[in-house]
Amino acid sequence: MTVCKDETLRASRRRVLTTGAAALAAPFILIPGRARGAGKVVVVNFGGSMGSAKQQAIYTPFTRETGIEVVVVPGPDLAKIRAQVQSRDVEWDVVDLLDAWVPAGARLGLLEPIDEKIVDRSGCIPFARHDFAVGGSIYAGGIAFPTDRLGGKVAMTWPDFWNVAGIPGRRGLRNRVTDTLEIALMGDGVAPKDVYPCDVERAFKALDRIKPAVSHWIAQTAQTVSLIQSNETDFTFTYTTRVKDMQRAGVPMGYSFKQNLLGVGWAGVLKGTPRKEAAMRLCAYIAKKDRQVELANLSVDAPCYVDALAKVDPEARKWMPDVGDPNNLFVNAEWWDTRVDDLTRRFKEWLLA
Amino acid sequence: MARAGGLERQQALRIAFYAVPAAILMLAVFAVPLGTVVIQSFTSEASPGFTLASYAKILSATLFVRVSWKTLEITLLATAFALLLAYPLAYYMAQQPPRRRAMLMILVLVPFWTSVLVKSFAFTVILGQSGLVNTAISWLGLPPVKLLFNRIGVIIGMSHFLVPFMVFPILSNLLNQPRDLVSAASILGAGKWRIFWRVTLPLSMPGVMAGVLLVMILSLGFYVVPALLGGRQDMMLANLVDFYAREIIDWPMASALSVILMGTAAIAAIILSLIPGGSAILGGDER
Repeated sequence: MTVCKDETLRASRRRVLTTGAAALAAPFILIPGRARGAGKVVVVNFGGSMGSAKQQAIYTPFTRETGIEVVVVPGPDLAKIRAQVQSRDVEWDVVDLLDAWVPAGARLGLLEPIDEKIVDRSGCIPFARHDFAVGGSIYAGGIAFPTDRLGGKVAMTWPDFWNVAGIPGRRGLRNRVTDTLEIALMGDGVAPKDVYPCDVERAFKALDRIKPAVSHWIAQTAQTVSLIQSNETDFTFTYTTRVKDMQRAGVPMGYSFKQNLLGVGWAGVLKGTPRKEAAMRLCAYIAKKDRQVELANLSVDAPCYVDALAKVDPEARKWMPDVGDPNNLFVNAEWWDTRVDDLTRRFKEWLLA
Repeated sequence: MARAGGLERQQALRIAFYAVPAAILMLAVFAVPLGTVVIQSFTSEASPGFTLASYAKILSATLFVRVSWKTLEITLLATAFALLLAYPLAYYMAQQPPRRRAMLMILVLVPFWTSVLVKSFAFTVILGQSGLVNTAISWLGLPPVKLLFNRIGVIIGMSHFLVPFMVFPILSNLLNQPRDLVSAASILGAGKWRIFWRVTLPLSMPGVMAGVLLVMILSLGFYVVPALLGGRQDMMLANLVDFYAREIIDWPMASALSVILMGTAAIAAIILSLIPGGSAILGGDER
């Protein structure tokens, strides 16, 4: 803004006030404008130690290499994604997605198809490939337990978890139907290869049996380990990354690799983002093999490339599940896609009964 | 006469003028979004145009019926506990000299000013298996009590929040009771208890009713406390709204549910405005 000299001299109080107000308001008007430019990309992740690992392994080197600034926002949420896309007011660009959100997001038209010309995923395991999302890592979920009580009698597999008489102790499961249904079937003795398509009735019968032994239906992931730490419960379904963090903090906690659920840490691009090009470039970076190795070293979640696993530090590799073990289950998000709403309702009704 | 009416109207307009900024703010940030919610409750994902589909779906849903019963159960229990705690407190405060009463008022208000989220987290520390209460119990050689992640936890958390709302209307009623009645009863030979049962308590009923209704209206919309301190059976209607909005992502359903919840609270508020002493709480005339 240029103001000529006489005008400045004649500046009335009102003018000073209006310019002052404009100057005060400027940042609020300018920031969204700048955010819409090509030099920035807004990323949404679940935070925690995985969030800082991603900052170090992916976002910081990405900015160094491309000059594109990465703004990290916490709390991915499918409802918010939907609100942004449907109101055509997209503020998020690259969002970390839960397994079940990927088919739902694709079906509802909330995600941009991954641009294969920009994102190179050759060699990525098929399980971590999707037309609308890139796989950034493979996570493992299983049973965590305290090592300072229970006298060494510990549930190591899901049938053990269901064997309440043989292995006493309080149980903790999640308050959502995804994962819990598969866990119930395995607890009832179904082999992981036969879990899908899920026998829903059998799963609910198995859940009926475990219900009295479950002290907590856990809402927040952080609670899956904190409730063991505070002696509120004994066995929970949690993730390797969480138990590793607890062990590093000196909490006496163990994790069983005997029977794990394996899923993908996805990232997707919101439909209609004005920064699509930059978002796709970041996806390409997330899919990069050497970035995934670095992320694996920091987070202990495995890379999505078979040949990359050997490059991971042995110390971090200790935390990675054996993907070839037939006792482990690959979570099938496609099976859930059309069923998740009805089963979620049924599960909530069942919880209240 | 006509002139006087005109003056009165002018006066009314002038007073209304002061309410304009607040009214505009409320319209923009409250009435408009609320209107959107109401409109959305009459839409459906499946078909465009006006439909009652969401209401039909909700009223026939087992989930809604169960959660409504839980909400009612929790509301009544929390209200009862708040009343049991608040009445003796209000009675005691009413007997104190004003200076002392002001001190006590501050003590009642401190939890009232604290965020319910912060209080709920504080309760997890106090009530947990290795919390303060259970540690104290274990020193006495008794088995631990489960006070958290169940109905007990919800009722403790909610009553704690609600007690001040129950104290105010009861205390205001007790303070407004004519002292002469107590003196008269005592001159006629009634003992302390008899005076309480026959004079003070019956006269305080409007205050109790107002407190009960106010606390019930507040209880209906509880969200944080059941989510943080409750167990699997402690889901309330507000949690169900969140469930439809965020987990199922069925916004027409979430909106219809909100409208039902709001309607219930509105009916309770109307009843509250009709009982003596109740309208004062809602901002109406003192009498």
